[in-house]
Amino acid sequence: MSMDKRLFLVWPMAACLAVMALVSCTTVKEYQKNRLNDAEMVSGNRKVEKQN
Amino acid sequence: MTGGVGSQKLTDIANVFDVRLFRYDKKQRKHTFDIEVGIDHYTSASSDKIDLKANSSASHADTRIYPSLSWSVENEKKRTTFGVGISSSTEFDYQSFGGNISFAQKTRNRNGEFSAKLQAYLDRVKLVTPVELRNAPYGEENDHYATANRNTYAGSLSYSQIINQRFEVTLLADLVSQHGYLGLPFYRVYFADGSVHQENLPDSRLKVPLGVRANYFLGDRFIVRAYYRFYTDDWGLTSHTANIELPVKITPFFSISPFYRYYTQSAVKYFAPYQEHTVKDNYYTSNYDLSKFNSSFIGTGVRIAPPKGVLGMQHFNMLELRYGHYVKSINMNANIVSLNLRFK
Repeated sequence: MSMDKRLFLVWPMAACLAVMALVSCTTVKEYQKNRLNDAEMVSGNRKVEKQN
Repeated sequence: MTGGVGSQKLTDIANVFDVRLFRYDKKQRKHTFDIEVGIDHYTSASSDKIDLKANSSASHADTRIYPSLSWSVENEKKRTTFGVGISSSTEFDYQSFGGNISFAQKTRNRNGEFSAKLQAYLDRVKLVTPVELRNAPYGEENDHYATANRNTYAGSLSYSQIINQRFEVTLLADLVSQHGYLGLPFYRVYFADGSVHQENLPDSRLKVPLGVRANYFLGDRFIVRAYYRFYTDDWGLTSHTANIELPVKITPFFSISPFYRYYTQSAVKYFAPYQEHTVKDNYYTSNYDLSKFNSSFIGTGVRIAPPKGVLGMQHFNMLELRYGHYVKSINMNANIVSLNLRFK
């Protein structure tokens, strides 16, 4: 199977994993978010990636 | 610029200055004002070939200046954030004015957030044609270039969800519509019969990128940052981007982040290499940015943010340094060094 065909399957697989993750979530209180609020966990590109 | 052959050598120095101010109003809403100014200076062996007979010309280098202003207000009680922004970008042959409006809403338990953004860019392209294709004779200065419009409208949706105390996922979807002059006026295309033409591309393009991010805090020191994006448009280009970054927290204030990004794209319908287009082609380009290729980008970054400031300087809050080596399958490679300094 060519690399492009393999990669084309990644999108639906990634979507399925995302949906499975979404339905299995638990409520996290503000005081429990110390790891989620870590600077390395920021969602989105870092400022330093901007020019890459 | 030389029809799909020749040097791609390019150097680029880019600097961005970003100032962010915060203020709370009487209703305890948080206002954020962001002023950003970017300055890029690049030299390009290809851009230098607008005049093939000149050893070097003014087009071998250019400087771009791009300021932007934005304001957002966050209402903690209603769990909403509203924002607006304006931007511009100016270089010798290109001017852009942009505006955006955004809205975000958190879920009742504050574990999820939905956001939407609308952007518009109204651009003007100066039609700098290759010298031999101009109406004016060789050697004459042509200071009066025609211009053409290029307008871009983009809608973005995202939803982020906290899965548990260590795991967060974000889904991203955009829709981008472009109209106007979408080619590059100084790009040559050599046909199979030896004739040379100016690049000619359609005056509309519809783009659809879809992406997913997942961040996971593994143990006490390791973080996994993963990103995948699928892209397709009506010019026939389809691409996949997969990125993984593995920050390691050596101490709470010092981390090292190796990363790897793989990218693959198909060619647009209108691409053909040097001397492969014919007069039967309504649209044609030999720009290898629109060809089929793969690329890999590998590197590492360090982040230092001690509580007493970097090098003991209290206001010098954070330093990030990042190096990456970029390799494209079309015989191009690059080295990129980025530095981010934060002062509070």
